[in-house]
Amino acid sequence: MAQASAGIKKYPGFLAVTLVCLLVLYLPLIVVMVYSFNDSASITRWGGFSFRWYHEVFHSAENAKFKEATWNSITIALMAAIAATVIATAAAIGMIRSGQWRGKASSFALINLPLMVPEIVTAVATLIFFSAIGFTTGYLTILIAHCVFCIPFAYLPIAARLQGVETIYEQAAMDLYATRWQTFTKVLLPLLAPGIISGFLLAFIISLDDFIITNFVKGAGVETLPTAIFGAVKQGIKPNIMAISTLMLMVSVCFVTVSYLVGRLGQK
Amino acid sequence: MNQNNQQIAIDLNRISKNYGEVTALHNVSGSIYDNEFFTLLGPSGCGKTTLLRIIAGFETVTAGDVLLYGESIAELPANKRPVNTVFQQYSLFPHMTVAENVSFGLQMQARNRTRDRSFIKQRTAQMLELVQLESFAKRKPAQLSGGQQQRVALARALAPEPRVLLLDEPLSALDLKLRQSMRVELKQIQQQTGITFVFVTHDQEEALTMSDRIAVMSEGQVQQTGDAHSIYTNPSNLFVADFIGETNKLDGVLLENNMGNGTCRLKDGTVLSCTARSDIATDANGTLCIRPERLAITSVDDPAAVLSGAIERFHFLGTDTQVVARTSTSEELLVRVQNTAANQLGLQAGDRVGLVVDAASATFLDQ
Repeated sequence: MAQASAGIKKYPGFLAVTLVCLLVLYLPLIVVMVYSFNDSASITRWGGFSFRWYHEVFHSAENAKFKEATWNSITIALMAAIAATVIATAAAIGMIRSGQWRGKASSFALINLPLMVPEIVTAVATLIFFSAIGFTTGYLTILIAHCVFCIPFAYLPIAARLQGVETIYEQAAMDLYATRWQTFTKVLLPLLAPGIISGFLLAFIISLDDFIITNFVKGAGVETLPTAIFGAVKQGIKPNIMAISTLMLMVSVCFVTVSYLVGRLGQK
Repeated sequence: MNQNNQQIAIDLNRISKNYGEVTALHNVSGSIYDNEFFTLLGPSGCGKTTLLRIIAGFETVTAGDVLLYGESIAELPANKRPVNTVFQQYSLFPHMTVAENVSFGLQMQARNRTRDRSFIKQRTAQMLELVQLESFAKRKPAQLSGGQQQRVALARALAPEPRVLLLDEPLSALDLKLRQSMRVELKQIQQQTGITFVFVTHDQEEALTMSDRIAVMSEGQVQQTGDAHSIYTNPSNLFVADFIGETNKLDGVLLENNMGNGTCRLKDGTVLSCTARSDIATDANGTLCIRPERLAITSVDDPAAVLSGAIERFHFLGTDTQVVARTSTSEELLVRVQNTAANQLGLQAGDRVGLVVDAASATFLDQ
């Protein structure tokens, strides 16, 4: 490993390409973060450091709209992540602990297909589906759509963890008189916990972050944070958007860090 | 030990197990007695682990029945069978302490829900004492050595007082010294607890030193069942003779068979007395098996010598020396000579020697 990376470092332009990539990826984020503390109303001119826009996010006239959108986002993300994690755990056990059966490979593909399908296609299809069965679009349709597209994201870390848990533990539990349910709750679940927590956090972030599908199925009047921000930006970018974006970024960073730490804890 | 008076712990009744086209077990029958250290011995792939897993309830039988103290358990799932298993790999629950591992079975047993906690606590402590790990109760399995983990696994399996304890090559992951001391410990624990042990191994030394009785298995069938001594000295077929210990095999023809005492003629024309199963017919072709330690070296013109050969080489093995000799029909003969002061033969490679063997040590096998 050390040798291979040393070799890569010797390629001409390695440093330049790396810097360009990092710059393109992270410079806009840094600009947004920095300008969220800008005292000026301009989004391009620096007018000194202040918490003005953070104050405005929580206290301005727009505040009510964003507050409701945030509440919707968090409740939907929480419920969708819980539902997706439960379904993904069941799916992972079904796929990995069931031996060989016909259609196993296609089931695996079906579970993970949503990751490959362009989101806009899913969004249009979901909207058509809801209107075909006569569902009024709103909070519930967002929740259902989120549950569905979160499943593959929750599935991946759980399945990866389960593959690393040897069946001998479950056999040992059964041998020691545990019922199937006791084997699951007392042995398999604790061993799977790092994967389940990772899966849950990933699903939560994916749901919190989603824009395209949400925008299609949300209906009138119901907003999540991403759609509310998009709506506000359409009327011109105000620095308070930068403050909200920075707050969202912090939440995401926290979750991803926790997910990573839990995953590493599980490997020990 | 008079086995006729003993209760049968496990009765295997014509068990077959197929995986698709592959036959893992074919018509296996046999009895394991109460309070016995019984070993299933055989090379890998002989079906011994499959048979153990059938008794444990992890595999179903294709045909046949398993009786535990007279009652059929073939249809019972693993968690309803009063048998426990010590697995080959360390199967301790990694998220539980040693004490939690040991008490797991007790807590899961339905009858213990009515018993009080102090019973489980006391029984757990008693089991940890049995395997001498009292001071490790609060540790996690990852903090123990391989040998300690396997002792915890033993305590965990014994804690719910199983009627039969199954051990699936529990010592194979340990190093030699530890394996040897664990053999002694296992045997002692079996005698202390009085629980029937069914032990699976491919290691003949392990089987010979610990077992009351051994079933030698090969290709999904039991080849011979008996105590260590009878299996070693009276193998019932060539597989058993070959698998257990070392043996010299010489092709020959049985000339006469008088209720087990016979004579046979080897390829080079040598005629010698031997033992043979009384059902082997005269003139049958077969193999004469002689253990290396039953051959004694003498001078080539000693009238007691029945075989003769030229010494090829010596292997020094510490307590004995293995002498490799070759007969006139170029068959290899192994001779074990103890390295005592009296046995300094002063022989060299190339010397022609005579070999003495008594009839009881030469066994004629027809297959």
